[in-house]
Amino acid sequence: MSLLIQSVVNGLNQGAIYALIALGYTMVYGIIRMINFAHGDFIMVGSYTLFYTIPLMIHAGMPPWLSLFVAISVCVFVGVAVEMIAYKPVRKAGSMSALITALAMSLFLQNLAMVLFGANPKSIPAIFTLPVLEFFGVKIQSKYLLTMSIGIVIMLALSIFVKSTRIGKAMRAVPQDKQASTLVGISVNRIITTTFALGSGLAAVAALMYCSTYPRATIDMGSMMGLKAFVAAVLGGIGSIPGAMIGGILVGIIEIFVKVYIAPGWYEAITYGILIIVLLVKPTGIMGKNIGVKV
Amino acid sequence: MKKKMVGILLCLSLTTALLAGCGSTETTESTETMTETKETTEVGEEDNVIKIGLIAPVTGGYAVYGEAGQNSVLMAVEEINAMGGVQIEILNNGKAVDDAGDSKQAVNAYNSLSAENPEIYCGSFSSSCSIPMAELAQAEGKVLISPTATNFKLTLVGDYIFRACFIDPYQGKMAAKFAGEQGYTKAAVIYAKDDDYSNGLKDAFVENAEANGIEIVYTGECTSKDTDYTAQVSQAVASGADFLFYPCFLDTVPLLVQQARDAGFEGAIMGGDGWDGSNTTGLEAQFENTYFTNHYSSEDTAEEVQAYVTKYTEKYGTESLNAIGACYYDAIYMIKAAAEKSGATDTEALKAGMTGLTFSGVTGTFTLDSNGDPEKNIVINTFKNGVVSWVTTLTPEE
Repeated sequence: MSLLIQSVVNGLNQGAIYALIALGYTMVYGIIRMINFAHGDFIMVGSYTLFYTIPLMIHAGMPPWLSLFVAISVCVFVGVAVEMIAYKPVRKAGSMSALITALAMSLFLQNLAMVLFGANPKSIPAIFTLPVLEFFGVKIQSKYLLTMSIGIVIMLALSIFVKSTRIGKAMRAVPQDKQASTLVGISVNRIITTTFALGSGLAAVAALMYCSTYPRATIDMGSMMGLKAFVAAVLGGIGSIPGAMIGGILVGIIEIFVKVYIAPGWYEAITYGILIIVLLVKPTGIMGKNIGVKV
Repeated sequence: MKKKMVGILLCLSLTTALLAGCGSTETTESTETMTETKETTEVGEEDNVIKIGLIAPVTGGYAVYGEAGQNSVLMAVEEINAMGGVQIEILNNGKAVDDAGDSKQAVNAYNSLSAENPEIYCGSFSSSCSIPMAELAQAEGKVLISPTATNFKLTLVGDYIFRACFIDPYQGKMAAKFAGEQGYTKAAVIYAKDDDYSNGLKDAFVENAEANGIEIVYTGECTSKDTDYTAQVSQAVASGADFLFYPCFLDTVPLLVQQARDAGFEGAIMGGDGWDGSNTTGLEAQFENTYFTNHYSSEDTAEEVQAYVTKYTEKYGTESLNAIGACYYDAIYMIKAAAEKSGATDTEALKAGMTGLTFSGVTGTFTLDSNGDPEKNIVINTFKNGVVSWVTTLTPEE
């Protein structure tokens, strides 16, 4: 019984991290129909920023989580720079060019990080010192609960932002029709830049949550995590904000339960297997809408 | 026009090279150096220079070991070359060829060195990288000494393969013995099933558990690339274990220790020599009551150890000071000892010298057995306040 509760909590915690990353994929895909494979590497950038700024914060006598704001600024800067330098020039060349550019950007960021920070994995100092809660004899780390609540709050905030603000409405308009959006006075380029800024900011938050559970930064941490989160985004229905959340949590829970109750070595095979089944049954994902493709 | 110029230049350089080869007295600076290098390679066997192909994981998750290995080798080579007598040349311009801890890259590294025709290979760090290289070396008839690959299969590849460290069956047995002596009775094991080293240590620990009064209550699998162990550690806690054996490498050790403690595991956690150099920053409390077996302790007061530790710290600081460096250092001195024993520096002489070699260095005094494995002391370390601290040294039985 206690193992079951513990596994649910572990799964939700891991799922919340996947969900936060998946939100970044979904935001960008929802607006410009492009899969930003460099998103995972923005998390790597965020994690390294945390690694270098947390000691500074502690040194200055401030709480370590304040470095989150530094990480957000750095990630937003990198995200917007990548968009301006690499993605904007190829936007007209079609989705295949954009995809390849994103993959190239991902490799570039990884290798740049190797040159700048060295190849050694870095251990990130503790970010939160939170008490341990006990339910029915199960020890639950309150930082896990914090990760989940941050995930849910961000998802709700994003949904409201996209639904009710002016920029949010413009964000929804752009993918429907770029030319018409321009006609009604929406600056398409500015909206895309804003989307990247938001997505990269989310990556910094995801980096914080990731590092509080797995306190390690490596140059290639983004690729595996990014892949899992991408699966989560597709499972939930890419482009849909609640879908990313549901997909993330599903992937997290499935992984943990497969590891505990079925076969530990099979967890990745089973996760990807479920993705394939969902895509066969419902190609747009769990929350995805069926939009007819314009011919 | 340009093409023509290049053609003429090429012809000119070719003719000079030809002339130099004939031993003509025509002298330009470049031809002179060419004849010189040619002579040294031709003499080969009596040159008194051992050409070593060095392989280490300079990047990747085990980069701190590769760095220690490379630094220590440079230190050893500098010392040996200053002594006179047998000289050592590290191919690839004095640098280790990187395998990044990956067996495919290890084979590439081996092949790139093979083109430079070394007399002996020294490497690599991990068993997963060293075993495929050992197979190539054996087939080619070249000596290979791995400083730190502890999987027992390595030296069974053939008679050209040696190592400078103890083997996993011994390491796992000693870990089980230590756990038994400390009074632990229920052990959980989590191991990386995609890694030769981890499998070898797990098997050895499990085999010897019963004899030391330990019951294995849970066995969990992971891979060496995982970062999430919450599923495995929560099962270990649920199984009621008071001892957790985690025979994996340093890059994942802080992750496992933190997640185990987070899940409420209060017993001892133990690993092998792959734990050396683990980063404990911010996890000092979680690392209390953890142990690992190792090749040497930097706290050892023996003269060789202190000389090595002092010199290494002066040159490269303490961050990369670990037992893997010490093993690489000893491996280079073992190669020198082998050359001195047989009185020549070619591959066959090194093989003859290495067989049954008795050696005394930083990681102890030992004799290579018929497989090419040393039998030596094992050190048990713990972490106190995040810093490695020596607990005891166990000596081989029999």
